[in-house]
Amino acid sequence: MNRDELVKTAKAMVAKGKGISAADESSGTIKKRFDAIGVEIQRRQSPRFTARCCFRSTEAMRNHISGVILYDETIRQKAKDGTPLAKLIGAAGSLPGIKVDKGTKPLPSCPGELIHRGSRWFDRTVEGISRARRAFANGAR
Amino acid sequence: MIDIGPGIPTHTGVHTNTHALARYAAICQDCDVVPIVEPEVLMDAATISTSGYQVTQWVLKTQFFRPLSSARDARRNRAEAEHGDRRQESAKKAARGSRGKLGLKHPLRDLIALVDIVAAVHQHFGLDDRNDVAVLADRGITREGVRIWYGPRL
Repeated sequence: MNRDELVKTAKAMVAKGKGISAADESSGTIKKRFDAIGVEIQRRQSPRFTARCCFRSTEAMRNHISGVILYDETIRQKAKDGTPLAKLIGAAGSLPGIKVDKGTKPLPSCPGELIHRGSRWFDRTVEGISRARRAFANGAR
Repeated sequence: MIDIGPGIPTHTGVHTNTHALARYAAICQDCDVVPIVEPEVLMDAATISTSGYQVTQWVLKTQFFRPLSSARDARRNRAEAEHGDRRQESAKKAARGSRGKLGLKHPLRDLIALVDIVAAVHQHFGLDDRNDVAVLADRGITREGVRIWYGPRL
């Protein structure tokens, strides 16, 4: 663990006058939102990528967004020129982050209660670390 | 994600989720990724009530707050380890910086100053040293969440 880097990143995330953009909707959730405004997903990933890319290139984002929480799908996406989305966000002056849980599922023996599916995944520590390291390699901070 | 309904959440539900989030945060930090943990108690019209207040208080205490005595110990240990001779000056400066920013719009300014903010919250609101707890990170503590948490104090 590189504590200095963690401290540096955490401080940048909570910089004065800036907030965090949670763009970590799952594929299912964002499809519902696109459906609600009449946007059809014609090709896999492309509309979601375009939408997320567009608002990330604005001046407001540069000045007021300290970090962007991405979804597992989006952190691995690339622009047409091959630039990873995480790098684009970094170039805009923000920190790319990632949501690593996999939604919710019923908690066994507790009717009506939920638990994040990612938590079970994280219980299998080796796989959890592997995935977190992969996220780091993809640019997540 | 904590939902409120007849008989829920249960102790098992809250503590299982809390443990899972703690493991998640530890693994992220081991891999040099800063974790964001959300105290996600679902807020709808039905939950802005006595039960909403109680459940929110319970979940926040479980997930994000620690007793002041622990906070003081942690701050002292950390200051000794990291700041050496400057520890007193550093702790005072952190506490002073945190105290002025507390209030309804006080999103956590510095995650690293967590233990200092805990102490400042206690002082600001005159909370009981042993039983009340402090603090949080993240959008989960919205204006409404803070109002519910502190109830009639604000």
